[in-house]
Amino acid sequence: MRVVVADDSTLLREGVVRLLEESGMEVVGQAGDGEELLRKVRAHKPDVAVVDVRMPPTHTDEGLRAARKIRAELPEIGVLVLSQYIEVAYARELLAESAEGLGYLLKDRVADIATLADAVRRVGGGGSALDPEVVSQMLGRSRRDDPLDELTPREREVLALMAEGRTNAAIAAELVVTDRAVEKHVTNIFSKLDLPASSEDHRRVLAVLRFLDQPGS
Amino acid sequence: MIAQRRTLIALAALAIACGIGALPLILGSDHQTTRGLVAALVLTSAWGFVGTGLYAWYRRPQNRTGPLMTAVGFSWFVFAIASADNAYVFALGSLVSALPFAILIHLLVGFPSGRLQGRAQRFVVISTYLLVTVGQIGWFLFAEPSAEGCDNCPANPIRIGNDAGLGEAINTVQVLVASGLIAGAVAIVFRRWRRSTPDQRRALSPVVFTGSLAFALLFVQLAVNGAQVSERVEQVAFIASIVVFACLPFAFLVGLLRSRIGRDEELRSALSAENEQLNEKLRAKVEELRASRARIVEAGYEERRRVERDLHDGAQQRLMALAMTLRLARGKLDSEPAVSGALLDEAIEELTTATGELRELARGIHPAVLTDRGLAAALGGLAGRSPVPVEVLGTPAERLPAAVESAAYFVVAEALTNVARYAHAEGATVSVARSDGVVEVDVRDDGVGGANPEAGTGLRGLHDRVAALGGELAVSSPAGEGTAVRARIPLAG
Repeated sequence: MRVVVADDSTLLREGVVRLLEESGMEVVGQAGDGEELLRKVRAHKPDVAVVDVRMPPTHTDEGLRAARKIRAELPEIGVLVLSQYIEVAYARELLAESAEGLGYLLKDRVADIATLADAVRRVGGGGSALDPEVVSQMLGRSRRDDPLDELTPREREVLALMAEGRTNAAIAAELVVTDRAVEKHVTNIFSKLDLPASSEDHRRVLAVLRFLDQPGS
Repeated sequence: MIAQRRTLIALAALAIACGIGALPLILGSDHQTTRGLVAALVLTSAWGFVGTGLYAWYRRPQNRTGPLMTAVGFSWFVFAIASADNAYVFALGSLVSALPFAILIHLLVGFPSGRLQGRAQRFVVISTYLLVTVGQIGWFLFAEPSAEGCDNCPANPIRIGNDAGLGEAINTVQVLVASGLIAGAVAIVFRRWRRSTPDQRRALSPVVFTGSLAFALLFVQLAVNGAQVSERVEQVAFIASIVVFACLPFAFLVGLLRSRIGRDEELRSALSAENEQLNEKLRAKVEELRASRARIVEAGYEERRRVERDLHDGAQQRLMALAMTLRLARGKLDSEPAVSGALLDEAIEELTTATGELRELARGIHPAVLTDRGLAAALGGLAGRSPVPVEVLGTPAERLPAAVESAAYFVVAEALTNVARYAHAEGATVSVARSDGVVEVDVRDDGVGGANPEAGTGLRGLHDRVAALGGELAVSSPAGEGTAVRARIPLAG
């Protein structure tokens, strides 16, 4: 898998590069700001761009803007956004069109090789990787007549993992249950929340996230 | 203005009616020996004072000299009442017969503003009023005018004592006190004269001149009443008083209209009351500002101390522990690889916690999303992270000035922190609304209430933060009814 890494902190960027290379990926380019990232992505056409939100010159949301540009311009390239803070508002912007080939992770997660590599692979394969914190913030939102109240605790766990972008197999492995059991939970969740069932993972993620993100009604 | 003019016209009509009504009383009196002269004195003085008083009132509505002059004018009619032959009406008239002189002294002492200033002026005027009311009643209870030279006077119907000596004694005291008060009034007027500028003297001179003459005549009359003099002298003195008292109101009027200083003074006294209030408010505001500025500076230091403490207790300790753990792991790498692996896991755990703490610390200092995306996004994040379910009811669609957004954010953040810590609430709501150049922040919960806004430094700090932008913060927290924190922040500071 070919990757471009963008982060203005050389220390962190090189750390990420090393971890990715250890996991058997090929880092084809590195960038220190949004402009450079776009140039490298256009030139190398990688499978995934790993992007830090805050970069020069304004140190606000350059990475986020570059990420949206890449998704608009080169939708086949997966984008994994790393952020010092998890903000639902950022996630909402990134998810505006689709959850396909998109990841949004807390920067701290890069310390865990497995998590980072897994997220890059999922995003590179057209899937999604949403930080558990985004999901828990969305789940924790207060709603009047909350339909989530109807879910069993296990169903809530499954819903959270679905929202993170995990496949049924991954959910089954995580919860140590069978694939069949997960499928049953998923069907229950969709019918309880009145969501259109979908076999395709990324459609499913988007439906779940849209549901979780709708204003408390 | 129109209402005032109507009042003045009504008063003028009343004065004319009183004068016409007074004439038959005086002229038909059995006991007034000099009926014609008394009638002339009453009418010229009364109408003179009322006429000039109303004119002065009309020209200088804010000045009290006009109303006082009008009052002096009306008070002259008491002589008509005292002329009555009916015993009770006569008694009533006699009781109030000294009233005109009291109001006159009030007028003179207060001239030209009509307001009394200082203790001496108030003392003289109030004492004079007491003398002509309480003192007069005291005298009249023991006096018998018909037995004391007024041959045709009706018998005093309210006399309670037969002791002529007592009545006389009271009369003597009255005269002495009256002389003292008159002397006091004269002293006040002369002191004012001495201290006034040439301009002010131009205004004072007619009053001082005629006033002195009038008081001189009063003394003469007091003396004449005491001593036995010929009727001729008495008449001359009386005619002189008529002339002087007829001139007196015009002297006041001329003085008043000449007095630019008087006008300034009345404006000044009207303004000075208002000024005093404004000053008081200003002083309070300055004091509050000084205090809040000091608190803001103090809060800045306090904030640094808190950050230092958090770094020291949190990340720094963890990193030191981490270094030790790593050293241990390094030492056991060859001898006990399994232990070494466990230690490394521990190190990773500690490191994850440390980065998490650092992240929260940095976010508490300034939330990046607030600058990047504004209030709605930042408050959404706050609500999502709150352990108590929080519903954001509304936020302004447009961006607000950074300082306002920041203040609103920290109001909500602090309020939600308090909800989580103390409220035992099931849920809370947050709303930020913009209306008429003001942003209203409202955070309320359904918890136990009873929060004391004075107790915590958090709320105090918020108050200062909001006040620095010219806004205000209100906390209402009745026990058992939840807590509501409301801030109003003006957009244009």
